[in-house]
Amino acid sequence: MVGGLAALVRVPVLDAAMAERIAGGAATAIAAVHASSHQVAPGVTFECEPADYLRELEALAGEPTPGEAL
Amino acid sequence: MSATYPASLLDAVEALRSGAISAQQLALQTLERARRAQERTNCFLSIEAENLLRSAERADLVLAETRRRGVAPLGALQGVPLAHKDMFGRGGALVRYGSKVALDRSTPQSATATARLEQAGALEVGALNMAEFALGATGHNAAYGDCRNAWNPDYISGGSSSGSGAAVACGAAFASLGSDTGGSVRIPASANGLVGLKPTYGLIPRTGSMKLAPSIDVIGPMARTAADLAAILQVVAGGDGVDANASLRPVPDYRRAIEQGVSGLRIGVPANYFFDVASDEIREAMDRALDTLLAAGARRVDLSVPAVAEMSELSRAIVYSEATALHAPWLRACGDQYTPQVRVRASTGLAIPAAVYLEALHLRIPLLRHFVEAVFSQCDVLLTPTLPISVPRRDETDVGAGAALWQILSRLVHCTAPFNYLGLPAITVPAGLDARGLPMGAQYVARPYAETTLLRVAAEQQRAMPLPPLVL
Repeated sequence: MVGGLAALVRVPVLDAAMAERIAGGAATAIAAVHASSHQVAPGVTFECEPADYLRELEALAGEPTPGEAL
Repeated sequence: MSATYPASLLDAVEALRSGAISAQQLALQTLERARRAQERTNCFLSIEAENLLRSAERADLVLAETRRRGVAPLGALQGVPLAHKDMFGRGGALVRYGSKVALDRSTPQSATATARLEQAGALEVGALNMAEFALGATGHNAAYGDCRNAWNPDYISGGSSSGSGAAVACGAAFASLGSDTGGSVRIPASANGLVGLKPTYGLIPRTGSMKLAPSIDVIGPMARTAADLAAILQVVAGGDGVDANASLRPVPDYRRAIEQGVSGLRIGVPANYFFDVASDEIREAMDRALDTLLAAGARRVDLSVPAVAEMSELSRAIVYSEATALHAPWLRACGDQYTPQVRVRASTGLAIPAAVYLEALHLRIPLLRHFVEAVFSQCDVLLTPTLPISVPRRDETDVGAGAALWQILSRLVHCTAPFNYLGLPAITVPAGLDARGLPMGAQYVARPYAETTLLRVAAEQQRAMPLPPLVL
């Protein structure tokens, strides 16, 4: 598959096995995350734009830890 | 030339302000160290002596004037020599990105992060070596020559901010900026016995710096001490209004955080994933690091962490997809000029379906939310090794090293890459030397924007377990 894609876009690919291992690993990981019912509630997966992600990080920042009166 | 060379960045700041050493004396001594460091590690792509000495002369005028008037210099780093990974725009000057691919990489303006350091009075020794286009975790570079470990040149420096790790460890710069997309600040910092920070995604603006995978990339500092690192972070943190993915949150006082100790902090020790592939020597080093914190009043919490292996895979899918999209035009135009290993890495994203890439991005918010709730409701920082294995030799991680190569490369980023996916801040702190005399590092991770907590932990650990001096 990778060799064909490379030819199509005229980009050289030398190690299709490594590329396909990464793609396969990610697909398996996605399946595992979805199989774990406590991690992703249905309907929440398509809410992410880069700005949403930044806002989420800010929202999760929390309070200062013990000893941190900053 | 007889003034004593300062042991740390903050010592250099103090010596310069008091007049114990002039900026020109410091620059000359730093250049001598840079030449020795270059011979030992190949950490520089260029040493820019003339430019450094000219800047030092100007810094001396500023320092003399402020001493005459009895005030502190406006710039917090006036006259201090630094050097950075060669991926930051330098006002139109050549920026190599560690590559000899013949494309125009000059940017008319300086990168925000390095411009802020310059405004604070810092000087530049030169441009530092790095993995070609930051695509590599070992420090190998077939275009400019490998960067080697400062403690033993037979071993890898780590990468991709390889020159940053080796140069700061050798004393050829008091601190350095690198970038971290899968561990590229933390791995070389750990391998060279430094403190290195991957900040929260969005803390340091990336304007004017090389992109590898913009959804993941962060700029991060490394230095010899946590206090030095705090001083650098103080200057470079905070949105610039240009990088749309840089946070405009107020910047806390990182320098004060250093003094606050770790009493009452809960240190999480993960039961799964992070120690699974760790060697006995690394496990024992992490135990010793934890003991130093417990002795200072911290509390141990044992816990399990969710979905970490999956995060590594998802991170990889995003990084390679975005890297290939960025490199595709260059690969088409002059793919034959890439070094072979990097050409493979830069085109790997072709094999990743768009649906996988998008889902990896979309899952990030729910996984982040779940991770923060599950982990940081129980602890304030999570302790893991930075590298779960001893620093590998250069020959066992070079092209053609055989089947073991992929396994070693995977282990190098085993503990670092999950936090790039989540965008959480993580710091590596020296945790002693192994039996071969090479540094080991403990990684601490915290909730978003809790860099202050990480700096407290780093400072405490360094106080309790300092590395012996590196003698070149």
